[in-house]
Amino acid sequence: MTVTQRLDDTTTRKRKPLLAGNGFGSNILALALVTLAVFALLALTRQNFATWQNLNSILFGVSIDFLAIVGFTYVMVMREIDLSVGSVFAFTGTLTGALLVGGWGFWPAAGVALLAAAAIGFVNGFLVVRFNINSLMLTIGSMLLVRGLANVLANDLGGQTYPRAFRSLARTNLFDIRITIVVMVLLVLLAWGFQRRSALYRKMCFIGENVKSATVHGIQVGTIKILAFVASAVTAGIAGIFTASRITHADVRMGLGLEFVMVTAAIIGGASLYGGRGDLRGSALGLMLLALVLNGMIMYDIEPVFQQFVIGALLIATVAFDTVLNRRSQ
Amino acid sequence: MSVAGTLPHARTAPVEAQPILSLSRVSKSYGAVQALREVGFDVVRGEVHAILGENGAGKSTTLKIIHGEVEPDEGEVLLSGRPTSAHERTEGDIAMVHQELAVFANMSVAENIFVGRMPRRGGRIDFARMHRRAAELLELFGVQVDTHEILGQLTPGQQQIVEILRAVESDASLLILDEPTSGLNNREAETLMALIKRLRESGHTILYVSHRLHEVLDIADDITVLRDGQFVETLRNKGLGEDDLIRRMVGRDLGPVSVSDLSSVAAAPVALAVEGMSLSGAFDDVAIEVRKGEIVGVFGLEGSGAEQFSQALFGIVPPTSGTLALLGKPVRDVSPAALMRRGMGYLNGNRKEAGLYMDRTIADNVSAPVLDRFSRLGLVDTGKVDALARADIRRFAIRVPGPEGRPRELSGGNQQKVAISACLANAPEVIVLNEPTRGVDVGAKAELHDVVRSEAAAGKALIVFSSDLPELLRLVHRIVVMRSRRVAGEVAGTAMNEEAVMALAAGNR
Repeated sequence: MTVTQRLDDTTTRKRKPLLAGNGFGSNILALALVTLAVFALLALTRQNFATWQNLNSILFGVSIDFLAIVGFTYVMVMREIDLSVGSVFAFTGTLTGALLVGGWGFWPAAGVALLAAAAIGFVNGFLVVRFNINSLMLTIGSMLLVRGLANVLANDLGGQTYPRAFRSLARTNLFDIRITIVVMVLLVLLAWGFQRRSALYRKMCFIGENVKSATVHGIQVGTIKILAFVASAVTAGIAGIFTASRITHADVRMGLGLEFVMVTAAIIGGASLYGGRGDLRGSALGLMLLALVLNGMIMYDIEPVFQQFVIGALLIATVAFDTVLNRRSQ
Repeated sequence: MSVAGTLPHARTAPVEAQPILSLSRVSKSYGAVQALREVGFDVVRGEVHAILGENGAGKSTTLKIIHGEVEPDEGEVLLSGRPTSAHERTEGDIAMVHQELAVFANMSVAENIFVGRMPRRGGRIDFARMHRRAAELLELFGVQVDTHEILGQLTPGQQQIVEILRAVESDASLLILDEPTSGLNNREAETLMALIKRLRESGHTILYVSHRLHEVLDIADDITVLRDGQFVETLRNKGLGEDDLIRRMVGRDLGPVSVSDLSSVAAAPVALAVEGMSLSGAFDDVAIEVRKGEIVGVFGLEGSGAEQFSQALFGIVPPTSGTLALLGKPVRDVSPAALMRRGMGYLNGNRKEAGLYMDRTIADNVSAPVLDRFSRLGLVDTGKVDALARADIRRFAIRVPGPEGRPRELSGGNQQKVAISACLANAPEVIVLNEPTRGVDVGAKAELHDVVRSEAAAGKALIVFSSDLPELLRLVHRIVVMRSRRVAGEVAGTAMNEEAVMALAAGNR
């Protein structure tokens, strides 16, 4: 039974609060408060938490991971997933380092590595679109495949340290702040506008909500999906280059398990496995929350091996919550 | 249980004066909305009792209360004269077949019929006996389907029939069928009508809800009409016509059937020209021309290829060969995005499957196809989106609180209006409509027909695919009939009647 009352044009247009979702984002205020609460708890109970050095290091780590979650979030909006991000992250970073060790200049090396990442993203997207392959399984495949490539490169380098100029890249500052942090802030602001107003983001939401409706409405589903997979790989690649610079040498463990951190953070931030939703601001907060939780565990001297357990538990909890939420709206 | 030759659970129906089901002053509100107000009527044992009403009239609430899914606020539901609780009715011998299919697509026909009650022998399922009995049931109702067939392989109509047979097999004395023919083509609907008549002969009581008035007139003994949550009248089905029912349902006359007039459009330029279009495995060598201001119907029984033709026409499944010209210009890229840019609009036959975003606002829904037009530098002008939604709500009389309403909260008719709004948002010159009034009540149907006619009057070319033949006959200028994956012929003007179309469609000629 529906309300059959019809209101005419005299209906006052309600002004929405700034942080509220407009149907194309989600309410991130609650998430911000939770993150703040965890922050306050740690700051009040642990002396060495709220030090400039510790906070800066958390924020720096989050800002690099954040670069990788940009494309990933928008892939999820379209009800697809890209689990190859961690591998592409490692591959692109290691390839850049390897080329630099081989005597290349930074820009050519980074450029070639990012092109390679873009190619991986394109193949992922193309296979999903053209053959309608389930992206979860497909990108598990590409995750393994690309991880293999990254390991070959890392083994060849044998733990060799990257050239000095590359090592200093991650420590580049802008106004005395790490450049990646500045970029994160800028991207969050951009995402705000993008998600409020852009036609592209709305189309992505439509595709995620009902791909057949989107097709019938003339939205170029295939093109947009492929673009998102390319973006996912390229943003993961950029983050990988910064990470390679930060850890200063080739390491086979680079970016291991990153994809699961990403899924968890994105869903905490308002994305859904069932598509139609996703918020880059929320993803940033989700990463922040996870980083605080992990840092807090260190502060409380909890065994580092336990971290894996916590990430796993959080992943299950968020996915379960997402599913329940989705079922209720049906 | 059943033996070949006799109907299952045939009751040696004792002729009881007591009605099998009575509603007495039943009321129900959801929040501020009064869904039912003091509704009361009797259902006579062994008869087919139809409930009619527009969407929002209270039919689904009534059914849910009878079936015990919903507790009424006031009033009583009596079974054979005895007051019952909602719980008793859910547990009791009332079987309901919902409008949406609830089947196991990966299981066999027999398993679907006997789901939860499979015959057993020594703790194991007796498959032989199950298939034998399923075959008997199917044969009794003249359904030619192998009981081993996987249900997902059947047509929606056959699946619906299997679902009804499941309810029949469940030994219920009262069978509720909610819009059972909404997904069926004419031939399947006829099979179903025959099935219902046989069920009545075997002593079953059937409560039947349908928008298709001719079906109701064909099979019902009594017809109860609801309007705006209130009981209007229970009519004995004798000497009634569709107009009698419509008047009671909407509380007004809907006006005469339109007279098709071809002369005004005969000289108009061709808006859509299709030649030699084929899609391998679906249809071959189809040609069609639609002029500006013309409404052309396409009719075909299931398997005729009409449905696939409509999808190929809009590039949803690109045709394998053939040419398509829009407004005199050949179109090489037959894809939805390209055709929309060139002035074609498309309404899908199943609005929930494609055409709506159930959980997005009306504003989002109607603006989805025109986002680019409403954007500058990639940014959407939300003022324009809002204005479009308000204009559509007014034009199509969509009953919704405002542009922020969502299709999931609306009745079928209002959902369809939203889907049509989206289809027309881009002001297309050539409009392809599939089942424009499927699952829609009489009032909304008339409104949607008015929309179609006004688009034609504005010089648009329309091509309407519908399995509802009476609808096509009163709506379109001429009908192209498809049979066996090809165009079988065309009828127009005075020659356009049900017999002529069916003769072409069913291949009697």
